[in-house]
Amino acid sequence: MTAGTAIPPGVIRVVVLSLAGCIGLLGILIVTARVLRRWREHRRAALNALARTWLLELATGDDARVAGARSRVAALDRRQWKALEPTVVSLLAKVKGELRSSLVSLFDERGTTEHARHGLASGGRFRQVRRARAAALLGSLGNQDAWAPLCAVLEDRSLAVRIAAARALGQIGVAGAARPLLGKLAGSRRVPSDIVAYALIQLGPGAGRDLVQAVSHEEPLVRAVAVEILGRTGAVSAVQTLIAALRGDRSEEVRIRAARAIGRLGMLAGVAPLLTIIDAGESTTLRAAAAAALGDLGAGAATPRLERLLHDPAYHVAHNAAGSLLRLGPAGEAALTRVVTDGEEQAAAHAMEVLAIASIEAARRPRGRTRQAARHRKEMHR
Amino acid sequence: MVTVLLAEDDADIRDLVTFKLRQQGYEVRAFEDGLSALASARDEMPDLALLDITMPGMSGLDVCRELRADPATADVPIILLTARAQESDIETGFSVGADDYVVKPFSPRELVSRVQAVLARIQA
Amino acid sequence: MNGPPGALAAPAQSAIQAANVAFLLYFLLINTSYLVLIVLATAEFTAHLRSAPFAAREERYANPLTSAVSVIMPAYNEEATIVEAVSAMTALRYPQFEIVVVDDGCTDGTFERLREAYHLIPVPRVIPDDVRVHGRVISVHVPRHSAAPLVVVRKENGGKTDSLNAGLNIARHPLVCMVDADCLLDPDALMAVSSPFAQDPLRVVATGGVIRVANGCKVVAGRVTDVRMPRRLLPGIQVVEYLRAFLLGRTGWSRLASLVIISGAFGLFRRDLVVEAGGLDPATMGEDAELVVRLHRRMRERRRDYRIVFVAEPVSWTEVPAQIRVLARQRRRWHRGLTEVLWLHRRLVGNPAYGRVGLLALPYFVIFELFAPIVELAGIAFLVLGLTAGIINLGFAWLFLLVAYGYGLMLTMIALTVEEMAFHRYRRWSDLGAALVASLAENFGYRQLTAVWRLQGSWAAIRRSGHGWGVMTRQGFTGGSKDEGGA
Repeated sequence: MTAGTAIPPGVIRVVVLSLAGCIGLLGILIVTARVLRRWREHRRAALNALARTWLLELATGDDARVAGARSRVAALDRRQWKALEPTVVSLLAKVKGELRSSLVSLFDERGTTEHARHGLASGGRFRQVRRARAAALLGSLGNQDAWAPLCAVLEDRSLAVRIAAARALGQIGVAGAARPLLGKLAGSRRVPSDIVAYALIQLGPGAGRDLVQAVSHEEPLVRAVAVEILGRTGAVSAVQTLIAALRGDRSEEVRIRAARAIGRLGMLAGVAPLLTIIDAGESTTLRAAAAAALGDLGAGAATPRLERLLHDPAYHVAHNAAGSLLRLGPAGEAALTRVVTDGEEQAAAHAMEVLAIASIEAARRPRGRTRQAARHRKEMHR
Repeated sequence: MVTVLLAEDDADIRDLVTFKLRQQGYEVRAFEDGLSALASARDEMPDLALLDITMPGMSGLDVCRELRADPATADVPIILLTARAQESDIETGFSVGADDYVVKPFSPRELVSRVQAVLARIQA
Repeated sequence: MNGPPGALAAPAQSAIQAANVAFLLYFLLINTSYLVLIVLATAEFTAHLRSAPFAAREERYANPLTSAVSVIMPAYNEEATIVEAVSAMTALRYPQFEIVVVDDGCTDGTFERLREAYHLIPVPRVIPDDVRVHGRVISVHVPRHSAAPLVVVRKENGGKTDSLNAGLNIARHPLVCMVDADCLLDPDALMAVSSPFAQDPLRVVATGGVIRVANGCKVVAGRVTDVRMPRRLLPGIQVVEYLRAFLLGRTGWSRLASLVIISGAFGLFRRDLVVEAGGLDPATMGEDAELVVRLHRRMRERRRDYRIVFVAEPVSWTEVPAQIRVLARQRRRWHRGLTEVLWLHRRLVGNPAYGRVGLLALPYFVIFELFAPIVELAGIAFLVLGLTAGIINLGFAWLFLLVAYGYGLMLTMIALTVEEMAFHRYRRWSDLGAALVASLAENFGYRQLTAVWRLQGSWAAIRRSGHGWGVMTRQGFTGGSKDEGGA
């Protein structure tokens, strides 16, 4: 026989043993992982329960009890506090009012803030959880001074740390963080867009100038996010930038978002550019977005143009025009009613649809929360 | 005694709310998941249900629609707990029959006054 | 060795011998490829779990980059369960969404049940013909009183794919989610499966959610409230199989940027791109996989920078077949679908113009998925032949079995370990025991039987392809997907 099929028994034995060994090891691993996790959960729950009884005293609002609880927490040694800290941090994000302020002062008294800033600076791959936790804590405390070190940590090699830092920067709300945050949408060490976008919204109008500049960034994602945020928080001055993006951005996605943002800002300066987009031979998606934006913008002057758009051969343009007319109020509604009776078949159908849905919604509108709930209850009984 | 049913998976908030409501003289039945809260409500009707929307398995919205679907529990006033800036939760909440909502993070004092207000409105 | 020449001629002998060696190598390769996928998946989970505590999920709801979703839910004669299913869907947590139920010419009380529950009233909707639909739309309804985001479409019967296409036309939102009516979703399912779109809005074009097995779990109000292993062996084996192949396998492919299968039971797509691609193809059986391959193809041909992502967070639960007969039908259908998709897009296989999809994913599917059943069966046949003819010795046979099944068992154990560490959804010790028994039992009969069914599926596809690809299949619901579940 040839060597191909002649397997010496020794080889088989080795293969059997190593496979069995691996399988056995994996079995042990599963069991160990489960036991360890249970043990850790148990321990954490016990610690938390203890911590909570103290922290709840803070929530009583009774001065003497609050003071007692604070002195007890202040007396904890470092190890005990370290075990307690995660609970306090997580509670911090869940409450507001007096309870929150007393929690924040607990941290100040213990000098934890300083400690966290050291944690932020700790290096190395194995300390990434420590850095991320430190960033999250500084964010939860709303520590304004921490914004510069947090911006530095945005460059961290660990994604978890970058995410924690970006969120913390949003919570702190220092407008200067806008530019570094926007920078994390491009390049190699990125942060997911949703995290960056939420943080930018929290920075508020102060970030406007950096956002306007970002609209000419070379990376489409940066432009898209900047345009989107400007539509929500942007000052009036952003309108010209958004119009320029609507007219000439290289990316269609950015132009669509610019149309939406212009609509949301509600500036009359946006009407003419939006109409131009609808008339020009642009893609249906962009034209449809512009038609919808006219309704958001609330420009009564656009009523006749929107009425004509009901005849547009592109379904989504005509449909959005109908929706926009409805949002324009009485003048738009009058136009829709007119089209239902006099208009061509397609236009009339679009008009009829939005009017029908509007009347259903109007009938449904709650007059009082409890009354609506009561009606719902009655319905379910039937 | 007025009984409040509480479903909240977050132990911190559960204990905090329980503590605060008990301090105000309510009896609180607290559960960490929607299913056991629902079972408890069916067992003995509470005067008010306080349901967290975000729970694994059955969410607060699910418990709400189940309570409303059963004639025995359909009239329980329901307050939903929702995380900040989520109008959609509130809309969905009303569409499944909730009476009111409290947005997290909340101050314990605010929560108590909402509970009192809903109870007063129902009795009126 | 001392093998007697026997009755076979020398060339036949060496052919059988060579075949046996080739089969052994094949099994070694296929199992090693699984190992690679599992390692990739583990890397993905590690990175995800590490950053998850810091990426507050709640904030996603307030995020401007979270796009609105239309959930398309085709229904055919589901009167017993439809109201509960729809009610569970409308209570999903998501900033802005609508549920589009497509009544595909039901002959029972499906629509009546919905009308009673929601006080549906007809609305005069203008429906675009963005994608072609065969069954005409009869009417569109919305709830009169409730603010539940629900639209019910009644249409003439045209099959499941046709219903999905009709739903696509009705859908108002930029993202469309296709679900099976009997699928159980976690309350946060939409949020989880849409989050890649929010994280990378300009590039992500489709995402698929993981499907898990609902058999044995406790279900209340359309939600899985307690996760358990099924008590019976057949669904139990499928739990293990789904973990290995879907949870880990697809995560691995997603990490390689080459995910070509998104389950029809829970996938999320950009509506505009699906419309541009012409919707779902009613002529193929695996319409979900076909759509994904087509999206890859179009994106590559347009040189677009795009991503198709798998979401491993447990989101969607399905009842898997508990009867051999039903399982057989399901597997035949799956493999027939796969065969059709690969044949339809054969031009991509091995084509460098299609990047990793052309060079890696599709060739892999041809060699290790399409041909796997025939190799599995032929491997056993040749092994028996070689042994009886005395061409191979017992030692070789042992090695063969170890490589094919022992290695396979080890992979399943790795999958169970990863599940335990990353997700630990099964909390009872008895579940762990049941999973171990299922992993072992899978190798005795189950694997061989599924190979037979898959082969039959391929055969059905080959026979049908003789009649050309243009023929409409009025398949879908009546074709048997109902009691089979999907993945």
